[in-house]
Amino acid sequence: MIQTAFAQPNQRVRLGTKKFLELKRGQDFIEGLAWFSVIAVTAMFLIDGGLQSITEPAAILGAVDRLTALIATDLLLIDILLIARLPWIDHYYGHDRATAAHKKLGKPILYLVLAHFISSVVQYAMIANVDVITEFFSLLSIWDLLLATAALVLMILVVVTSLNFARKAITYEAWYLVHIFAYGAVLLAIPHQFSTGTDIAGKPVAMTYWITLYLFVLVNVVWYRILRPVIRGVRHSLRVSTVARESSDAVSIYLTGKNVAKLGGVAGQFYLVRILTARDWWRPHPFSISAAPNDRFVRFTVADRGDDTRLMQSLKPGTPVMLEGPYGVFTEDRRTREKVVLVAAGIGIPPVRALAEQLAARPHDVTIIYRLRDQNDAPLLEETRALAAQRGFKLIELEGRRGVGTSWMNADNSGRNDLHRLLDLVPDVAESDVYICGPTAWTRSVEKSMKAAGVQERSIHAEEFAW
Amino acid sequence: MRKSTKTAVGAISLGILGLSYQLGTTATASSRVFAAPAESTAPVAETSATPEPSASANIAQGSSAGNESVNTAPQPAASASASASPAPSKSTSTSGSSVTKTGDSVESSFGPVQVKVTKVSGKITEITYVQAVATHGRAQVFPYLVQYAIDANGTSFGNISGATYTVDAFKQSLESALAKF
Repeated sequence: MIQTAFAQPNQRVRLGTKKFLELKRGQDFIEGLAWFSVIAVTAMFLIDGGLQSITEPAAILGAVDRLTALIATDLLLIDILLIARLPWIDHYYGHDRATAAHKKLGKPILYLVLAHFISSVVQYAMIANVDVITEFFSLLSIWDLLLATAALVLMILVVVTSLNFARKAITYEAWYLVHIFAYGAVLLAIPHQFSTGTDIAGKPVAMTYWITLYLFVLVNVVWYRILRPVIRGVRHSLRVSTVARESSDAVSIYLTGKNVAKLGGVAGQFYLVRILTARDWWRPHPFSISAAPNDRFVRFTVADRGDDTRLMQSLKPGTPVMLEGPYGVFTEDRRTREKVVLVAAGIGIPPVRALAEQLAARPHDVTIIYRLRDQNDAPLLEETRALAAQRGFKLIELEGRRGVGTSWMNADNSGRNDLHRLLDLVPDVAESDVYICGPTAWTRSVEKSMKAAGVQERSIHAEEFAW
Repeated sequence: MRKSTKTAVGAISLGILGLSYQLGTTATASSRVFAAPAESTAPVAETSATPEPSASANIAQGSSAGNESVNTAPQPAASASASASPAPSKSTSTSGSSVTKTGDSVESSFGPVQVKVTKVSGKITEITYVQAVATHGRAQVFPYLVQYAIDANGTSFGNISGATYTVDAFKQSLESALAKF
């Protein structure tokens, strides 16, 4: 089914570097807040005489135990915010950068928690003058320390399954299920913080700080991850209306419901899609919309990659669907220049196709580069052609086998490198914003060519499906 | 973060941490980490050996000397070395302004704690242990707790790291005793 009734493009767009500076200012503010939250807990520890308390070996461990616990808890809460897909974080960083930061923080947090655990047990063992194992088991008899130990075990499980080698061995779905445990880990650790935490119990300022922080995270997670999607799910009651084949391995899924126009969102964004069947409701799938938001339908175009994307190929019309989002900054909001180059490879085409539909542009402002194997079997190609023709955009189809080495273009036997070919195809690329969507290695390769061609780093926008 | 922001944030952070450290040097002993290797499962009776903060006995004696009020009720020796065997003495107010009340027995993870409080004209002058059991070396904190409670004239003093449960039990028992005044 080829969509040719295109939505109205944006009539205006704000360009220029001021927009970029505003973005940077916002990012600095958020990062500053996060940083100062760590400083705040450290300062509370110091004001309390945390360092002066160090008088003997056990007390050194006591200080380590307290400080690592404070910083780890603070970072853990920040880490939850990073992955909670909060619109205000998404707006400034985009899902992929927030996810990358979340992944980066995971291991240091685990190390801090381990240091806290070990120094606590050893310290108490020294005080009680018993061996570490005996002390550990005697501490386990206290229920909130038992819960905290369970939290530690869960946390180790979460981090280990997120390590790269484990990631490759398990599916997204399995990993997702394990990651839900992380919330359990956080909850299980709370009682011992408030019952035995030297730096919280009986200290009104610290108590207020921590309760505020916990509530802030709780409210954000519950509202944005649970309540809002459910409310919107009920309000729009979206269902699969049509599943249309786009190529031998990709389909477009059309969703319809009440007030579709009110869903919001812009071209280039994605939703977390939940198929509301008894078997599949629990895990969301990130899919970019493949048509600009309109008042008739929401559309995703999904290729069969063997995992849950296979499930999408055979969805029955009428299946209820819930959406979380929209998320992502692969949008016109990030555009600062008049000229735009959209680059897609294979099933990276959906957000590019949507952007082409919605971008505010005069003819010749936009160039679309579509890297594909076979023009008779490329998803959304006909539509993209129709769009380009209608709006006067240049569409470059790089068809066929891939070039040698790290080339991101097709093999053309000319012997020229990607950079030269790019400059031939898009002479004004250096003055453009570039939007790239495709596999990670391919994207890196495109970025390299773009930088070499003189595109500013801030004008390169890439979308990766990071999880 | 941009470089300039980073510099500013770094400088401010150093300032805050430095100031906090300064404030920390004047901090009360309230959050001190107690740690002095002792016999692992000592019931409180022996804690009079603890050095440093003068056990409540001295305080009590000092203040009762200052105030002319006389405790007729026989006090079981120095309160820090409170007898583990509960003193059966009912909380009896005797002469003038000296009033003594006994708090609830509170079960902590390391054993029961129960205190008896003496107040002279609104101020706590003496705290003795009716019950004071804290296994795993936690018993060392008992004399400190008496000192802190007398200094704070109540339960608004900090925790002692490593002995939170015992501290909590002490505070609860003390609170229940104070509620009876």
